[in-house]
Amino acid sequence: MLDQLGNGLLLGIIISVASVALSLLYGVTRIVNFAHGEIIALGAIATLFFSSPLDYRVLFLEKFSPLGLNFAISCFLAILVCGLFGGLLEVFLFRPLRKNDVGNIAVLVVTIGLSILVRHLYLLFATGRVQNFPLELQRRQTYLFFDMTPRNFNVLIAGIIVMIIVGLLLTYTRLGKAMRAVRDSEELSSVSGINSDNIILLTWVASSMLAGLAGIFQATINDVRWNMGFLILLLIFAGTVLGGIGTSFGAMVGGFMIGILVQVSVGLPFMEGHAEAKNAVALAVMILILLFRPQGIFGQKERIS
Amino acid sequence: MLNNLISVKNLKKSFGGITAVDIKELSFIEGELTSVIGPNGAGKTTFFDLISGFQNADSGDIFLKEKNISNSQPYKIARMGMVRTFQLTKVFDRMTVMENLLFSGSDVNNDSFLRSILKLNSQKVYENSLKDKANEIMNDLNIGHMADSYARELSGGQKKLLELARAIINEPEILLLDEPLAGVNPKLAEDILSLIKKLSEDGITIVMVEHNIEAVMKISERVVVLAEGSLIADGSPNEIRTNKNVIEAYLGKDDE
Repeated sequence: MLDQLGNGLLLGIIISVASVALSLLYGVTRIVNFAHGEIIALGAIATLFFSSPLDYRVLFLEKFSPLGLNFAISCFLAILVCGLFGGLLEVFLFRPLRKNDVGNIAVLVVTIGLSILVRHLYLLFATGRVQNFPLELQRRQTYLFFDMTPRNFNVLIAGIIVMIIVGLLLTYTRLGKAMRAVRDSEELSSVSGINSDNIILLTWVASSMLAGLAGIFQATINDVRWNMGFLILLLIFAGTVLGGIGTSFGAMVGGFMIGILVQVSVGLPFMEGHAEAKNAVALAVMILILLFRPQGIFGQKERIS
Repeated sequence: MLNNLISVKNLKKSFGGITAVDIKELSFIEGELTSVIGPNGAGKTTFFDLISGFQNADSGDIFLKEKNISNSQPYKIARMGMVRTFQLTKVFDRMTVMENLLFSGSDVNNDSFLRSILKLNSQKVYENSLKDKANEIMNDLNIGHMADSYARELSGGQKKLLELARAIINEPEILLLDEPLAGVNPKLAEDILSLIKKLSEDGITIVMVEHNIEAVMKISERVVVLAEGSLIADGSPNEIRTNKNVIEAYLGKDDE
């Protein structure tokens, strides 16, 4: 079981970053974003497009060559692309829906539709082929008591640093405070002089950039697939719910727990030969925890009056 | 001539076929404590929503300090010094009472990330002065002991007090109070009334929607009566008390 811990931590960091992004968006806008997985995939696909050598044919269009840029620059650009995509979604889709008082359930269905649409655009554009970032293979090393490649270890550290920074930004900046204020009451925030439309736009951008980063992590650790985000979407929801909906810190811890549970359960005796069912154990544990703590591990009960 | 802080002209708003607000001309004078009363459905809250930017009028103009704000967004109006409260009390649920006040009271320019991390001396001075101000207001309103409780843990009456505290920490020029006494016990209602009176004496222009007629008559300098969206009376409490239109609006026409 212990040899799976390294894999668990890696899946954990992917789920964790993605859960923080999902939770941030839900926390401020009350949108349950099923298209979150597609923003994750966009991060990976865009990085692949920016970084692959010029003679690669990673894309559907034969005449469309990748850019062959430096890998770090490609990641940076891909994250910007994700932020832009999120911003456009807010301005041209979700803001008009909000202004017209479209209900939460209808918006949820819109995000499901968006998810299916965008995912299949990827299938057309980036093909169904499993592809890899242009990075050389590395040998695993032992860190403390778990094994992983140096690159993946860096991903783990980078992810933790990013989440600490996000946590600090949310706690100490005017923007973070304004996000919490808009989450509690959009109207009251306006009365306090907060431009809530701007705050929601920035939330979309920030959430999408984080999702894009999670996608880059996922593709670095595993590979690039058109439906890569969709494949882990349920685990991301599980991480968010387990930690306590709408709390960033909870999403971080919940995401890690889910990732570790999924991977470690592969090593359980009764799971031998059933590795495909690994998600089941993690989700069963989530259900059990929610039975005893309905608000999630870090969620807070609310007074209803 | 007295200074009109807020004035509206030919203000109209209807929902479907029903006219919610239809006011030809109405102004609120600097420093005055005015109450807006009227039977249920008279359009009082809609009127508040219109002048605070939460709803857009079908037609007509609204001026705040001689600036046309008819199409301004709520946050812009708030930044001009007009702060409102809500009929259904709103507080930042997931912040503590103190955080509620610090957030509402803080000035954008004095609240940067770097400053709060580095704790510059000027930042400390600023934060401390804001905290002192918040403490003073909380003690005035008897919610000082709740400073570190989450706002969602407060009772209904305490939330009302917090909402008022939040509204005044920014030192607004104009306060729009939407039913400040609704659902509050008589003792607390007395306290809130004397607070409103004190704020008015401090020079804040106050416009208040309230159903408690007795309280309204006691503290208002001027009373404006709406019925079915229109202005039917405007005068001192004593004039309103004896106004025929007002009595009809509240009690119905005496046909027989």
